[in-house]
Amino acid sequence: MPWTHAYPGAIIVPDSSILSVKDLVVAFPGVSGEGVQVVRGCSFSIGRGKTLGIVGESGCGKSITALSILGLVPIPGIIQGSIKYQGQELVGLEEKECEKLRGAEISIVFQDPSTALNPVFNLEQQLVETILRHKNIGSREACDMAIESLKQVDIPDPQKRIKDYPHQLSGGMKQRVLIAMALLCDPSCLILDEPTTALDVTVQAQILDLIELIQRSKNMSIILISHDLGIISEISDEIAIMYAGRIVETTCPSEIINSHRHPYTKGLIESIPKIDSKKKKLKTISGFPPDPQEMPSGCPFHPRCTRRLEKCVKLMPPKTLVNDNMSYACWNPV
Amino acid sequence: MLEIKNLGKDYTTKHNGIIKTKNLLVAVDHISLKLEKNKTLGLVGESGCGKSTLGRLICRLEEPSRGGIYLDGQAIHELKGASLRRIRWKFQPVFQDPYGSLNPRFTVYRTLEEPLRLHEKPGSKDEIHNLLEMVGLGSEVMERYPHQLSGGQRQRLGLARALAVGPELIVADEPVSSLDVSIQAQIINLFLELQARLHLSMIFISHDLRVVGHLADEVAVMYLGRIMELAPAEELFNNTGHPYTQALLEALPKLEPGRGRLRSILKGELPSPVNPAPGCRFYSRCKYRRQVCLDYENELFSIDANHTVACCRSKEIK
Ligand SMILES: Nc1ncnc2c1ncn2[C@@H]1O[C@H](COP(=O)(O)OP(=O)(O)OP(=O)(O)O)[C@@H](O)[C@H]1O
Ligand SMILES: Nc1ncnc2c1ncn2[C@@H]1O[C@H](COP(=O)(O)OP(=O)(O)OP(=O)(O)O)[C@@H](O)[C@H]1O
Ligand code: SF4
Ligand SMILES: [Mg+2]
Ligand SMILES: [Mg+2]
Repeated sequence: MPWTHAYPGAIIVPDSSILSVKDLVVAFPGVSGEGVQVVRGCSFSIGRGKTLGIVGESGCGKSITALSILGLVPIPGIIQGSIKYQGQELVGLEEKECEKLRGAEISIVFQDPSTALNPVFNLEQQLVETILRHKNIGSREACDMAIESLKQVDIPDPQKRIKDYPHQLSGGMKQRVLIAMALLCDPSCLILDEPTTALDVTVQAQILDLIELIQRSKNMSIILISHDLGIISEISDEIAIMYAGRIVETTCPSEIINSHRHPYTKGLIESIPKIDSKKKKLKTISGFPPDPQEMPSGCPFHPRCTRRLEKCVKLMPPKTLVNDNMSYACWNPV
Repeated sequence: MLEIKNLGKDYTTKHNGIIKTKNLLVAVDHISLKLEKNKTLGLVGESGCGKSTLGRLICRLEEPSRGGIYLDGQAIHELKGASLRRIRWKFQPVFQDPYGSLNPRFTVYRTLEEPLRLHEKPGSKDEIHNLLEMVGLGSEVMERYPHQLSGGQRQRLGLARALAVGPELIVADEPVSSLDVSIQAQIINLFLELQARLHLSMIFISHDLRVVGHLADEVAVMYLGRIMELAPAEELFNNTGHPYTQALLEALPKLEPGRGRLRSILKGELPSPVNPAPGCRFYSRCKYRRQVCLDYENELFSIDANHTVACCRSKEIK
């Protein structure tokens, strides 16, 4: 019963896609005992060696979507829909199987870097442990591999730095270590959840350069999650714009500015201040994103939308395909 | 209306090695600035460059180690005790996380009534109602506590509290940094609107050059406690005079396809601000550096009317 809002119509999954998510729904028990959907029918796919950027505001469901892919949605969350990795269905997979996949095939760098490293072990201990968990090699060899992994993410003096504890590292260094850790077992797909949010711009720029470089050398697929449309445009091939647990538009960096269709996308673009805009008033989206407990009827964006029609209030807009990579879900597109 | 002359602030940090040594951390140094009525000065720079310290000094929340702050000609850095308290209403801070600076046990009403009372301007319910309206809050929030407000609403309340006493200068430290883009845009507009309406002078601190460039008349770029470049936003952008500003601009995410673009022209990370080496503060990361830079102490000089830089090789920058 709770799943009636899922997008109708299937998406076209190109053959080259490595991961495809279809009608993903994630729900948590709400106060009244009924399921509260925080991801509400997301579909997307990602090609081999490509970067998909997922952008949206706080609470729209970006992290939960990422966690679903790895089977890490916190208990008591419930997943519905389909997540296929190289044809294999991941929804409903045994935890033991999931664990085998994590790290080796699909890897994630979590949103909060301070919680992802254990403060009582040095980098060597943490890296070697991860390697030994996945690989059947000696500890000497694992240690060399750990140093190599730090070199790969441009950590200067890796032989020495590997003895450091997490608190001895700057934010940028920590993020590099986490990326190194995620790459240890050569995954085919890497998920980066807000990898630069806590970093200064010049360090952010270094990390983005690094991500792009590594991706190119390994032909890896990347899902990049960010609330900053600028960062997403920088390194993505495709962009998914998320609002209130749904993907409201899919597009690409070369089209988003001039050919966006969803009013929310338009609002997001106009909300970004420009360095040379000389104190002009920004066009803003009024109000704020809805609480999953009190989702509006019809299109979830309708209470904030200036292009709202009567039917927007009642009916959920279906996903409309523009071409293979572009779609929108809106009754009155821009 | 505000003039800052050669302002500096040091902290001593204790280092507990085998030998106890005291380290000198120069948080801000040689800061000289002018701000006119009704204008906004943006302070931008990366974490630890001294933006908040400078903001706190200007609001007299901290004692400067040297230099002076003059408000309408009055040397406010010399004021203490009751005489300081008497003019505090003139300059008001707004913080990044109003949650931390708002009393969690005070309702919205009480939060706004308190400063009015402290500055002997007791407010009527009408006045508080007006304040709320000014910052775009409805009177239905009057009896709510800070935790019952959204992030954007709390920022509006923080601004209302600062405005309650009718200040001439607002020092806003990262007031939009923790907000979502759509809410951030609303608050940026609120700042613009209120400044025009109340003829406020404003110091607006942010690590985001986009935000600062949008809001400010003039922008000061800071690095390791020093001003590296000071110019109107447009001039800074079109006629960049400092390698650090150039690196910041290059690193800014652009709203266009960026694949394959090299974003980081700066190698390495910020050096420690403790016991800085002599010479240009930016030397360790600068791609234009030469021997001469080691004898240069980042004195600011003009390269154009309204445009000063602290780089001795500014002419070489393209
Ligand atoms: N363990 C949980 N139990 C119940 N609800 C949760 C849980 N984790 C997340 N949520 C809810 O799910 C929704 C989506 O959360 P999610 O963390 O995916 O957002 P996000 O888009 O990553 O936001 P942010 O940009 O702040 O990281 C939010 O409304 C959140 O409150
Ligand atoms: N009370 C203090 N005691 C010792 N050192 C301090 C103190 N306050 C600030 N510092 C140091 O002074 C320098 C400047 O800090 P400040 O907070 O002003 O930087 P900032 O530019 O506001 O950084 P951020 O962007 O992280 O807020 C930093 O190196 C900081 O560690
Ligand atoms: S003075 Fe020299 S080191 Fe400093 S910014 Fe200019 S060129 Fe670079
Ligand atoms: Mg998240
Ligand atoms: Mg600060």
